Order: sequence, then C-alpha cells, then structure tokens
Amino acid sequence: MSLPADDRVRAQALAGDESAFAALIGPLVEPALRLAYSMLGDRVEAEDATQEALTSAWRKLHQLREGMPVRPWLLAIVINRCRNIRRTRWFHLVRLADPSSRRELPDSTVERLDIDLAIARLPQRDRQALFLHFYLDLPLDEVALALGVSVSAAKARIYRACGRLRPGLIEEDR
Amino acid sequence: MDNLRREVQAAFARQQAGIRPDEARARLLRQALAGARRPNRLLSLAGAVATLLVAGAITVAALLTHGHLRQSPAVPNTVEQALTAGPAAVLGSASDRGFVWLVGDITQPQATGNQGGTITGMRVVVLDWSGKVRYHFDLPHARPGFPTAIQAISPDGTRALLDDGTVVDETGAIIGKLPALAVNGMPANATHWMADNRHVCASFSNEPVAPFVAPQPKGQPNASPTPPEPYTRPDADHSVTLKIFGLDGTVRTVATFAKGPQGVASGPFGDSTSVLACNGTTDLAVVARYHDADTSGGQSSTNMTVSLWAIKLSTGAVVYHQPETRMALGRAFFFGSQNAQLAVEFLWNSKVWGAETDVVLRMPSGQPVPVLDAEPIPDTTGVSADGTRILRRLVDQAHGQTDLELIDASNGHIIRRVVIPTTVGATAVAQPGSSSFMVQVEGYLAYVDRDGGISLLHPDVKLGGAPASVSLPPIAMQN
Repeated sequence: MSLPADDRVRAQALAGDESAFAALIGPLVEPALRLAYSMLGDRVEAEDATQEALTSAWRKLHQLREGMPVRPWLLAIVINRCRNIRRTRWFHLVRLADPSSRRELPDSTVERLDIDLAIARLPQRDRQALFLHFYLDLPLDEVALALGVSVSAAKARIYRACGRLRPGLIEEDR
Repeated sequence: MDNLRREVQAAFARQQAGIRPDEARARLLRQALAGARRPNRLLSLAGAVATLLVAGAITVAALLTHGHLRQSPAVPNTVEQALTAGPAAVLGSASDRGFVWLVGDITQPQATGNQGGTITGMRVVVLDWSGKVRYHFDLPHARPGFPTAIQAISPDGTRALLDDGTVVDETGAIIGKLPALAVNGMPANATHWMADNRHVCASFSNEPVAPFVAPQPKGQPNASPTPPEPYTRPDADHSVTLKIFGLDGTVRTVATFAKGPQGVASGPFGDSTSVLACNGTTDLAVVARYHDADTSGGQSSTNMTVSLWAIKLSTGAVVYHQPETRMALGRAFFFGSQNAQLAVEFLWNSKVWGAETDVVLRMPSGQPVPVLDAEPIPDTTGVSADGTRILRRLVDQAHGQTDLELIDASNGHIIRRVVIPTTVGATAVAQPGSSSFMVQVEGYLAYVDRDGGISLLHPDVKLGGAPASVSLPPIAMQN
C-alpha cells in the first residue's frame, strides 16, 4: 500500500500534530478495524479495541523507529489489544465459542460453509497470518512484523493454514 | 493456491459483513485522539477491577471491555437543541471580518484490496463569518506520498502558508512565496501569521544536528552503532531564533534567546518550536520550545517539557520566560490569542496521574487566568482575538456529558455554559479583532458572541469526520 504520509508527516505527528497523526494513521483504521473484528467477532468490541489501539499508537508513536513501516506496527498493537481482550474473564464468561464460528452464514452453500468452518477451526495464530496476508494483502515481511515473528515463521503459518484448509494443496503448489 | 486464496478472501469478506469501516474510521480516529487527552485508562481499569472483586457482578465486568474511551454517537437533535437553547448571537457584519477555512482530505479509493482510500490532497472550503460558502478549491499533493499541508492561515483567512513555502489566498490562487519557510522533511520551524495578515512570524531551533545519512539500500546493514545526535550532549546549544518574514520579501531577525545548554536532559528527539501568537500592535510574540527530556531510550515512557517566552517585537527583549515544565503527551503546538495577550498550554497534571491540565496565561505577566485549573480534564478550545474570552470544553465522564463554557478571561467567570448530554468534540476559530468565535460541534457550526449568544450557521457543506467532509482547522492553524 502506498502510505499517504512520509517521514515528514511522521515527524510532525511525533511532535504532537494531531492532523499529521490522522494523515499517517487514518488510512490504516479500516484494516485495523477489520483485523480486530476478525479476532473478536463483535462489532462493538472491535471498535473499542481499535480505538484503544489508536490511542495507544498516538501515545507510543515515539517508539516507532525511523524506517519501520507504520502499518505492521499499528496492526501489532491491534493484535495485542485483541489478545488482551480475549484473555479477560469477561470475554470467557460470555464468549463460549470462538467468535469466528458464532457468526451467521447467510448464504450457506456447501462449499462456502466448508471453507468458512475450516477457517474458523484454524488455530488463532494461523488464522491471523492468513487474514493479514490473504485478506489485508500484507507482504510477508509486514505479516511477520505485525505478528512479532520471523518472516519464515509467518510463511510457515500461512502454508500450514493453507494445508489445513486444503490437504494436499502444499504438495500441488510445489 | 490462487483458487484457495480467492476462497479465503471471500470467506473473510463474508465474515467482515458485520462492520462498516467507512462510518467508523473518522469517528474512531477522533475518539482515539480525544481519549489520549483524558486520564490514563489504567486508572479507570483498576477502579473497575476493584469493583468487580467486591461486587462480583457480570455487569460491572462488562465495563472492563467496553472501554471508557468509547463515546456514544451524538444524537443530532441533542447537540442542536443544546446549542440553540439559550440566547442567539448578534452576528454583526460578516463582510468585513474576512474568512474562515474548512479543510478536509481528498481520498481516492484503493483500486484493489481492503485498505481504504489513499489521501491525495486537501479540500478547502472558505466561509464568510455568516457561514456562507464563498470559495472552494483543492490542493492536490505535489507528488504521491508527499501531502500538501497548510502551515498557517492568516487571522482574516485571506492568506495561507503551505508547507512548500507557497502562499495562497482565499480563492486558492498563489500570491507569493516564502521559500525560507518551506518545511523540508522535518518541522524545523513553526510559523504564525501576524494580525496584519501580511507578515509571518517563524521560530527556529538552533540546536546542533548531525548531517543526514541516507539509509543503506534494502538488504544492506546500516552503519552501527548510530552515533548520538549532537543535541543530546549536555553542553549543546538549544537556543531559539524568532524572525519575521514579509510577503514583500523582507526578513527581520527579532531575537535569539535561550542560548546555551538547556539544563534538562535531552532524549533522542530534537526540539520543536512554535509561535503561539505574534502581534505588531501589542508589540508581543509568544514562542514555545518543546523538548524531549526522556533519556530512557524512548521505549517505555515519554517526558516532554516545554518552555515559553514572551518577546517584545520591537526590541527583541525577553519579557517573560516560563522554565521547563512537563507537558501533556501529544499536545504540542500550543496557541494564543491574536493580540498575544493570552497563551494556552497543555501540561502534565501532577494532581491526577496520567491526565493533562490546561493553563491559560496572561502575557507578558505569565499570571494564570484563575479557576481554569479546577477540573481534571479540561480542553481549552479557543481564545478570542482580543484576549477577553476563553472557550473551554469539559468532558464529564461520570455523567456522559460535555460542557461548553464561555469564560471571561479577566476573572475566570463563566459567561455561558452549554450542557450537551453526550461526549462531543469541539473546535473553534477566533474572529479577528473581536471577542467572538466560530465553533464546530460534531456536525454543527455555530457563531458564539462575546455575551454567550449562540446562532447556528448553515453552510452548504458536509461537516464532520466522514469521507469527503470538511472541518474547522486545528486552533493553532488559524488564529
């Protein structure tokens, strides 16, 4: 993605310019919200988590090192925030099932149902990698940064997820 | 693999049908910034946890995840009814007061993917003081990835200095160039139009910086370790220079002050400066220097400090100096009244951990306006051009309401209070040479006069944070 801001905007945001922060982060709110929703499965909670992640990003902008891309940095904050929410007592009390398996499937052809359920059954960390790479179109290096793992580990998660969705696919792909 | 990729994308798209990012984007961003100005959420969280342990109630536990920072969308009639419940404003003549700029982003949707749009420029709508749209134009980015930004708009709205040093008028036509004020890569200076609308005051940090070293091509290691910036040395000079630039090409150095070492440790980021106010008639400028005093490596905490100076323009003499004071996070670029007799700063609130407090100082005495420190979470929205009125927003989180107050700057007394039964933001522009304001509250624009009269204005524009909308600029940009 071509970010609408460069280091100058980042520096202005770092100096406290809210409009510069908005220019820097604004285009990333949508992928952040989508990521939060994919992890929490609840619109209100996803918006809460995204808002708190944005607040945290504003407060921690000084931690963003020069040359580090903004997008995986922000998405990593979102992931951490969502993980924390999922760990709370409240979440476990009312979220008996994994959120991605609770949603309705309005158009449930057999194939769609299969892939939807298969994705829902993926381990959370594999599903996150798949979501970042396949849905948000992040390159592997940004997926790795967002998940806090090496590029090879991110790649392994994606391949493992693909293998679970379509057994034998990896072999076909080689 | 491609087939699977498409299937997975479609599955995620079906899952994502429950959210509306377009509606939420601007709101979340605005609320996040507003949230950052409130007390640290850990305090609220700790309180909620304690309550949970005592009561053991699930309903209380819900507060843990449904954050306090979240705001309910304002009910339109609620805001409108609150603003119009009292006396109406005396509008006066709109034609001789200049213009107010509304600004917004020009966004191009992404051709592919799900990333939202890319901002490609700035949209400007120019109103007169009756709220009528007089001009509108776009400022496209000079090249992709390099946003066009406005540094400062003159008090009367007939001039705007862009970040490349170009000066445009209220129609968008280029009327001059101040190349020395172009912002090249870093915000090395801060600019403010004088009340005569023909000169620009600019402050410059003189701290020593290392020459720029281009990063190595991708895949090649950068030089290691990176040497510390010269300004982090204890003996480094952190002085500031104030200059006045005329549209006719004249440049005058007013003063260089705060020479020598700072006496406060320097973190990894350099100083920023800004001109809060600059007025030839009152012969006064107010300048701030923001300093990174966090030497912890910048990983876990931020400790920004600020100094203020009042400078006599005719002689360059420093007539007031506020020594280094810890400032609120994320609130650099303080502002002042157009006559330079009030200065607003956002400081760390030592009484409420993690919160900020507003301080309005009379210049050049440095005496604070009374009463204003009574609330833990105030937000000074504007100060009138003549320095007699203060507009303030107070968020009452306990009752989920927002108070907008017009305050007499001479004694701190509240002239008019508007209570809006929801949490809303507010921005304001001071009317030149008067005690009045134009105020934006959510999607509403209003004129507020010196006696607290309020009249809604109805410009034919889309106001607020939604796509393709415009809003009043930040207070520091046009005042």
